[in-house]
Amino acid sequence: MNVKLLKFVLKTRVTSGYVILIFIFYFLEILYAVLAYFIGKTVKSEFLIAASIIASISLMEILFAGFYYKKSDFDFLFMTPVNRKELAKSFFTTSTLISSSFNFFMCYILLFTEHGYFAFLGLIDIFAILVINISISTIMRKYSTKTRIITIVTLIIWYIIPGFINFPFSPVSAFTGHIYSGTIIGLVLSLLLWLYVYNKSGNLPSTYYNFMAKKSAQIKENVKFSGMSPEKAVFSFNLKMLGGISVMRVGSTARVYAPRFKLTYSFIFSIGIAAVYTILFFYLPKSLYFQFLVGIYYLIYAVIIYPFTKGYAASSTERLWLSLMAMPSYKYFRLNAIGKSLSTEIFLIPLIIGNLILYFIFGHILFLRMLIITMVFGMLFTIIGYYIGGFYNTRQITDLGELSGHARYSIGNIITVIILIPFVLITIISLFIIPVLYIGIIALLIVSFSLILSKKINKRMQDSMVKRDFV
Amino acid sequence: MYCIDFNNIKKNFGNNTALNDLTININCGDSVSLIGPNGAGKSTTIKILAGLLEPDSGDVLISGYKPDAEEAKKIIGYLPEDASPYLTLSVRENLEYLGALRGIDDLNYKTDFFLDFLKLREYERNKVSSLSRGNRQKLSLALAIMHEPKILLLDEPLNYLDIPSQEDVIKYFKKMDATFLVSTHIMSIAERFTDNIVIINRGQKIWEGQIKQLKNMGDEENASMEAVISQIMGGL
Ligand SMILES: Nc1ncnc2c1ncn2[C@@H]1O[C@H](COP(=O)(O)OP(=O)(O)O)[C@@H](O)[C@H]1O
Ligand SMILES: [Mg+2]
Repeated sequence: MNVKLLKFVLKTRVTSGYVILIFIFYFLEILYAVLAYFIGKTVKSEFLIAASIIASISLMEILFAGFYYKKSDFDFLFMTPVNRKELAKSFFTTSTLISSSFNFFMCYILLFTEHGYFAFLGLIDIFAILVINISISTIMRKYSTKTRIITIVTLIIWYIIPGFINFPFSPVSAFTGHIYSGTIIGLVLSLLLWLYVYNKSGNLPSTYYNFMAKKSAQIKENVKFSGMSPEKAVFSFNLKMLGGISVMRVGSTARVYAPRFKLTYSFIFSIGIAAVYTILFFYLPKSLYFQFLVGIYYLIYAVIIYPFTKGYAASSTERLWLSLMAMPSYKYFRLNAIGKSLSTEIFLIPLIIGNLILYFIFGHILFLRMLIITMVFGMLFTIIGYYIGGFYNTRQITDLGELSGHARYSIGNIITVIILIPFVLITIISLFIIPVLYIGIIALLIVSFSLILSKKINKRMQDSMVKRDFV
Repeated sequence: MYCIDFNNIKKNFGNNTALNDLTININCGDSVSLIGPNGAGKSTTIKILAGLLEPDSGDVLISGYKPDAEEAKKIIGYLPEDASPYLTLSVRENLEYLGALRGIDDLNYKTDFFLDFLKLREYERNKVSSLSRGNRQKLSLALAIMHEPKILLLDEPLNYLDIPSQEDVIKYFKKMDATFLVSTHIMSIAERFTDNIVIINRGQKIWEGQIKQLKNMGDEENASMEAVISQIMGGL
């Protein structure tokens, strides 16, 4: 391996601050293992939680793994005289290094390993699972979307099975009582896949271009906007389709996708998620501890991450030279923020119903709270996310998928994270303490309404976006 | 009254001075090219005129309106540098969406007209994210002018276009009854398009006049326009 090249690739992916963050994550992972060594105990009833955490984080790793590559890498870097194969190897290694820092989010399950000293082995198991994930993700790039979806779903099912039944033949089995078979399967598979991808990665540029070319360019049916009032057009834009542009960014790397789905498809997808979520509670041990634990995970994804990302992405993909030349900022931003939050609400309806069903069946007030939080917070977080993106996001999504020069070393994104912390805390605490729920609702309503209604705030957001080249 | 009235404008970005007391006045119906090297302040000037950016000091009026007034928005056609339409929408959807936002009458007719005029018909249902750079620029141009603006603020409008499209577009512009400010760093484009030019560097005006005059200023006979401009800038 060419260490110099690896360093170069790593440096072009992430800032030095981020490298420090990676090491902090590594450190935390080890800390977790040490903790698990002392307090870890196998609790059979937690196997499902372990498997679900691994499966869901694996899914994210698989989806994110491709985004370490920039278009310019292929247009420029791979055309330079640097050895292609060596360069590709460095890329793959870099993506392993960066992704593995996220293993931290799986470390909770180290607590379920069979004996204290297996906690450290568990760390290796988690790493093996990561390698499997990103290798598969890399291999999958040359296949059609359908093949990719089938493969990924199969993999995820394989990961989650040990949570439901006594099944020793999955890497995840290491955390469900089959430490040896699980570990061996994980290690052997990851080693094979790693070697395969590492040696084949010289083909990366061509698979990349295949992948780009295969993206379907034409949409089946144009959405009609003609004849609509401006208000109706903005709502149609937000409500007839879901998805929008997504740019996955890791460090300073960006990849642009412009997927879009009809609202009906997204709704069906959401029904699927809601069904899995609701059924999960029937398999969980009927103790409050587990229900709250799953509840917190649920809130983090459905009520915090999804709505915030949606709002944030919406302002990052804004085209001010079009929208703000047609109407004043306060009017447009307001319409768009409301449109986006309605779209969030529609997506969340199945989950709201899921919680209602759970409340009727289990009769626990917890589900009623989750229902209220989902219904109210999800919408408001979309609005707040939209404005946070407008004010602090330093990364406009351009068609080139690259960052503007001003954005690279900005602290805007750190500010975003700091702003998010209180919202996350309010959400989670309001699950436990009713007054916080009420105060939270009122506070969020006040915040969202002042954002939507104030001409001054909207004008300042416009300034702030234009200054950061968000035109 | 000038249609574009840009007086003593100053604009800083942090410690970086983008415009330093720049004045540009354009009579209604005139076409002016804004010329200058990279970083001269062309895009900043145009963004201020479009009402997207506020100057630190100085006065701007577009046909007597403040640039961010709704009346001004109706008559301005703004095309930024490296413009990007909505990437998730198709070509046709972009035209219709913006037409609806602007409240354009006979939108279907206009949409069809631009699809044919700019040879985008075959991409009607293509998502913009899949278009080539040139086709994206064509669509952006259509989006900037489909409401028949009276004041056009165009930042490097012919970038990425092939020569026949450049010709078509210039012909179309010339037919429009409007006031133009076109930024470019390519002289031949300025020459084909406008009679007057303003040359700026480091946020200041260094020359203003007719292209004809500029041609006569070269030291040697037949000196290229580029050579003359370099000479003007070098003399600073
Ligand atoms: N958003 C911004 N933030 C910081 N500096 C900027 C920004 N926009 C422009 N500048 C600076 O202002 C100056 C003029 O830029 P610009 O108007 O884009 O020039 P031109 O279009 O003539 O190439 C340059 O020095 C540029 O770096
Ligand atoms: Mg410019």
